[in-house]
Amino acid sequence: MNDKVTEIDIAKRINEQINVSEPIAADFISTYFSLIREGLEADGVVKITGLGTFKLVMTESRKIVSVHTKEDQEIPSHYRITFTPDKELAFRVNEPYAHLTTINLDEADLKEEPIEPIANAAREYFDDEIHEIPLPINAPVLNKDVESYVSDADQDDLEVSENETQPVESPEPVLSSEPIGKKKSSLSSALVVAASCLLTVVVFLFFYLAIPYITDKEDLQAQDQPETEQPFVPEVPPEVYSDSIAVSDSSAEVKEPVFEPAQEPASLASETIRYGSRLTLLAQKYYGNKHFWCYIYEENKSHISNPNLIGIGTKIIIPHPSKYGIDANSSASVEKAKSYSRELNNKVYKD
Amino acid sequence: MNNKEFEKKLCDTLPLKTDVVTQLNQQLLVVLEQELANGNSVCLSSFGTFELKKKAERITKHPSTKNRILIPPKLVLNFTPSKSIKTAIKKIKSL
Repeated sequence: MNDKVTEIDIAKRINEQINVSEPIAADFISTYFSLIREGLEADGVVKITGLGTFKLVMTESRKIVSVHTKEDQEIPSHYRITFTPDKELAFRVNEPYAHLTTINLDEADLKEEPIEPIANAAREYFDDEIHEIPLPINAPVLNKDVESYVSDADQDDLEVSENETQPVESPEPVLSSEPIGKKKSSLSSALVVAASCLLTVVVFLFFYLAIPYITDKEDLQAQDQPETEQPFVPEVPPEVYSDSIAVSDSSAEVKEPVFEPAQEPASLASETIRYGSRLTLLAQKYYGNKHFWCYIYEENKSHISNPNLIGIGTKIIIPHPSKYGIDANSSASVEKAKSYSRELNNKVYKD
Repeated sequence: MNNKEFEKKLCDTLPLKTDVVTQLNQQLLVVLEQELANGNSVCLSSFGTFELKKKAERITKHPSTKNRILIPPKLVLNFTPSKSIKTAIKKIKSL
């Protein structure tokens, strides 16, 4: 894994598979690629089924400033090679990540309607408050705030109506920053009430949907203001996305499966989760197909809440294939596992 | 040059029987696919290197709905031509 493979290695592999001697295979490989080169030089395009398309593309001439001499230079226009892998090969190569799908992050935010400019001021005001408030008592406290502000505004209105005969201007409501007339103040208070109610609902919805994924408070704040252009850190289940192939490889090598004797058909083996371990990798290792990860999760459901976020050091029991009817060679079994894991995925992302 | 022409040329150039060449051709692609799928890079002197590159996950905005969409990471096959073929290609003035 992650090694450099040369022509000689490939010739050896071919020799192992079919009845062709190594030197002939090596000769074949060198001829193969020199022919691609010739074809490129002659036609500009070489299309090989199962590998991909090599194509010559013209690069326009461009001017540069030499780093050493500080002089203007011109790079003449020239051809370069582009390579587009065959669809099947591209898919095969991406298999470790093939189970991931695009996620719409904004489904919840869609409910947020455009708010009038005057309400925006109130919104900003409330936003500051929201960050201070601890999670569990968030909604009630916010409501109280809203009520107190509303009552303030109402009192103002009452005073205004009582003193209507006097030419003196009424005291301004707490929230409005600009001088606002009597009628406007009642309008603005109504708007503020509407805006704050909407905001409460949105914030509550957001917390309700996002709590399982978010552990960091800073993340929360970044999420809360999607309009401001802060670098947004996605709430990605780290185990699914964050590790490269290299990491998972090393862990797979380090792991020594403890095969239990045949008297216990209930479990095949037990594994300890390390950095870079994935249920899909374990499924690939033990059952020969990554889609069976759902059954490993099923077996260990009691101490794993989220299959994408398993704590390091967690002991995982690999169930015996017969328990769930696991058979990598049967397409029906694989399909069943696929649909079940899709179901699990949806459930996890919805939670 | 398409696949058919390429295979024909391969048969003409090599002093081997057609069926052997087709067998070799298939096997070469199988081996290449296996090696690349295992995450190895295939280095062919005087031609170039095939290797896998990981593209990180990213967030894009849907142009019409304005929704933010998380695109998962993926592995992409990348080809880097060798120096000799690069310079040879650069010398071509027109096709």
